[in-house]
Amino acid sequence: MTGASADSELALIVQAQRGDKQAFGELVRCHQAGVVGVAYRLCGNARLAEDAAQEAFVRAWQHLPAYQPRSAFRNWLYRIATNATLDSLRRERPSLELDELTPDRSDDGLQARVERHEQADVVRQAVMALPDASRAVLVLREYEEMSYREIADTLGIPMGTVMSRLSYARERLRSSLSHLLEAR
Amino acid sequence: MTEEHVTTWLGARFDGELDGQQLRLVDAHLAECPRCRAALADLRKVSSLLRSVPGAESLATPERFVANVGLRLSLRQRRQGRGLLETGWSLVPLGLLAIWSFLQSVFLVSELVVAAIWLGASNVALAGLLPAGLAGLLPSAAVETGASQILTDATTVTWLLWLNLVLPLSVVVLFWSWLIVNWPQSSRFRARS
Repeated sequence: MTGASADSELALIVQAQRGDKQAFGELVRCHQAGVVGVAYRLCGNARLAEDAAQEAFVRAWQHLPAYQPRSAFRNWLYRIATNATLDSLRRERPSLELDELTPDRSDDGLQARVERHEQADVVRQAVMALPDASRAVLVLREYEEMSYREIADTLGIPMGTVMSRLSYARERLRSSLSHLLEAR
Repeated sequence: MTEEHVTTWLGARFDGELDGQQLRLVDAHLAECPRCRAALADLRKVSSLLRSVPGAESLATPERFVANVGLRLSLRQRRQGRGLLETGWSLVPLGLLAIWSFLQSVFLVSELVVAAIWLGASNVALAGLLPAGLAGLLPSAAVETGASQILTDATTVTWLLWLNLVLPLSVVVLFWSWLIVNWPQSSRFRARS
């Protein structure tokens, strides 16, 4: 985020903290894609991710007066989104199914597309099989490209824990996806 | 570090989290150790495999998403307000019971006092029952003229009627009204659960 947009975001946050719903709506619009993205990577279901993202913004509004701009707003929001998604997942996991992936529209042959589709499905299932705590760290690192410090700040855990959870998640994936890794 | 494997630091090396002396040590080890180099290459493959999986875009347009959040927020606030009201409503019988107990204790004390008067205790004795400071507060008419005059006093009778009849009756009526009004709600709740 550039200096100017960080300033305008801070201004929106201050306005929203004073109860300005329009300013909060603007913040929602800015962070919608990121929050839905994190939620989706954590749960693998678009409907649940959308629902959890909305819930995260509702919780953010309720706790906004307590937000201190010491930490990045995005990190604070992602922390709420992670908790909201994991809560929803705990509630709905027994009946939850992973989404069908969107059809690949590349020009490759049908066989290659089917293979890519199947491979993506296997990877997603392996990620979903990770414990919630490790999956959250992995998603923030691999998909949001956060630094260890940012992940620690977002999830409220020490840096050492970030490293150990990430290492555990990667080791599990390396072992469960070994057949795909060999082919690469 | 160059003689021991650097497995613990490989993830941090891959993520660009190492610098200075630590980075140099890990790199020096990697230059000599094929096993750690292979482990680092595996990390790279896992990462690229993960990133090859497409994510999801929001199902709703930004406008619709913001509207949905706003709707959810107002529903939540309304539900919270209703929750407070429901808690207050469910506490009505407790409040009525508290009033009832208070009235009963007032009746008991007043009946004890009246009984003492009927039994012939003089107002002086009545005054003696009370703490020294409160005896002076007794109405001088009551102290001077005795029990019969107190009982015929219209104000006293009205007060006794209020205390013994109207107030308890109001509490009973309110309690039964609460039960009758609340009955359909609790039946619905039982049916839902």
